[in-house]
This record gives sequence, C-alpha cells and structure tokens, in this order.
Amino acid sequence: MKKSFSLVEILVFVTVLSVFFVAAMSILTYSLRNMKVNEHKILASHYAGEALEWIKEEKDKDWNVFLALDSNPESTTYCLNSLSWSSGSCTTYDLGSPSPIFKREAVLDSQTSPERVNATVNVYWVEGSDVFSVSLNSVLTILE
Amino acid sequence: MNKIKNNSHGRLKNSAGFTLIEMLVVIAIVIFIVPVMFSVVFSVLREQTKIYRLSTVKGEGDYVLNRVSSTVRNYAISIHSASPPDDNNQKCKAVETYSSSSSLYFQDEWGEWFSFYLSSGTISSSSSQLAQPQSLNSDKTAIYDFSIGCTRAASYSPPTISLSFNICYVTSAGSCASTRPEEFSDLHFQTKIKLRNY
Repeated sequence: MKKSFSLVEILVFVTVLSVFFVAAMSILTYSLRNMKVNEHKILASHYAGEALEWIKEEKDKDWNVFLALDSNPESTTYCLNSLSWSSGSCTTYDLGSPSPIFKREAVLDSQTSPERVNATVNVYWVEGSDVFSVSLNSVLTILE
Repeated sequence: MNKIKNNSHGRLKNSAGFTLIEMLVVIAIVIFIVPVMFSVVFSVLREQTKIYRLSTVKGEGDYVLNRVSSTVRNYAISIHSASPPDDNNQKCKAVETYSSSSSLYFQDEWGEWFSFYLSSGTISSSSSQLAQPQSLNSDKTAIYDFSIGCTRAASYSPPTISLSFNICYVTSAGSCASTRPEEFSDLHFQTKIKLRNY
C-alpha cells in the first residue's frame, strides 16, 4: 500500500503529455492559419474575377479609349479597389466586406501587330507578416 | 502518497494525500489550459464552416453567371420583356436601356424562347423546350438584388445584356442573416454580355 509514483515517473509522464499537447496545438494553429489563407484566397479570386470582368466591359465600351490607358512603352499599373481607373499602385488595403483587407491592381500592357492588351489583375492581402496574392490574366483584342 | 492508517476512532484517514496547495496549482493550470485548447479547436470548426459556405456561395454564383452569360451570348437573337415573345414586347430593338429585377426573355434563331428569372431567392431557367423551369442555384443559397437588363448604345452595335446579383448562404428559412459572423457569407456578381448572333 505504501508504493506510490516517484518524482521521476511523474516528470516523465508530464513531459510526454506536454510534448503531445504542444504538438497537437501547433498542428491546430498551423492548420487554422492555412484555412484563413484559403478563405481569403477564395475571396481574392472572386475580386480578381470581378475586376477582369469589369475590364472586359471597359474594353467593350470603347476600344481606343481602353488602348490609350497604357500609353507607356512598358506596362501601366492601375489601382482598381473601387472599379474605376485610378493610376498608380494602391496605397491602402480597403477592398472587401465585412473586413477590408485586400488591394486590387491591374497591369495593362498594350502591344501592336496584332493590336492587343495583356491585362493582369493582382489581388494582394497581408496575413501576419506575409503578403499573399492571387493573379488572373487575359489577353484582350478588339474582337472577342 | 497513499499512506492509510486507522486512527484512534477506527475510521480510515488519509494522512499523505495531495495538499491543498498542490491541488490548487493543478486546478489553476487545468483552468488555464482547457479554455485555450477549446478556443483553438472551436476556431478550427468555425473556420471550416466559413470556408464551406464561402466556397458553396462562390461556386454557385460562378455557375449561375457562366450559365446565363454563355447561353445568352451564344443563342439570344432578340430580347423581350414578357412571354410569349413578340414584336410588342421586344426590348433594345432601338437605342434604349431596359432593366428588370425579375425576368428577361430571349428568342433564339429557331424561333424558340428561353428566359432567366428570379423567384423566391432562386434564379430559374425556363424555355419553350423545357417542361419544368430549372433552378440554377440550390436551396442552400439565396439570390437577391437581382437585375437583368439590356442596353443599346447605337443602332449599328449589338445590344449588351447586363446581369448583376448578390448570392448568400441561407442560414434559416429563407433568410441569410446571422448574428454569428462565420455563418454569414455573401458575394456580389455582375457581368455584361454582348450578343454574338444579333
């Protein structure tokens, strides 16, 4: 009846148990972070698709106006957080509801012979200290 | 620690159990760790619900958008506001903008008609060839703020169909509202479609 666990036994048990718990917790938090990234990726690809659709509408409205959006020899970047042409990169992450964490940029690169525009839509967001992005691109010509 | 002996009154007495301090420390640690664990586990479950709902909403929204735009783009010849389509209800024949929050009818090159309409949160496709209207989204999602219309800028250019809607995940009997943010998912879709065979 006098036999009980020794300190060493208890220590070993507690160590094994805590290693197990720490491992389980780190796996859970890692997968939680991953799921969060995936959730934002779904939203980001929706916003990118929305912008590309809008760019196609703009192209259909007036081809020459659209072509003039990129007058540089290189490409031109526009901020499309609110679906209107505002030149330059976006300065704020204010796209998305209920939590505005995205910014959306379009890079237009017009080319001659045949006359076409390479349009790339990039949606960026910050998760912790990393910047993630989703990119969609399309080649636009005067006739579909 | 299990030293048990008889005391003078003949009752069992545990003289070497855990002390109060030891028990308090253990309970304090347990109280500290258990909520942390549960909160992590529940956040994983919450996130899973959120992703499932978001991907359902996005998938069904994309499907509705693609289905409507490819059918209209490839088959529509003329646009009508009522069924059966005739000259009196034809829209965007001249320079005009027409918009409806419920339905739009199209005629194809074989004289048959098809339409897309919203009724109680579902976009349905019906046509002269279908016995029953076909729902494009499941009853898991509801569509609201639906708008389908046509614009014609000039008589020499084809009319453009504009389509926009919001789609959300149904949380309780026809309503998407929820007090819990993870249960709420809602996306806006819009597109413009140029008729190919006008």
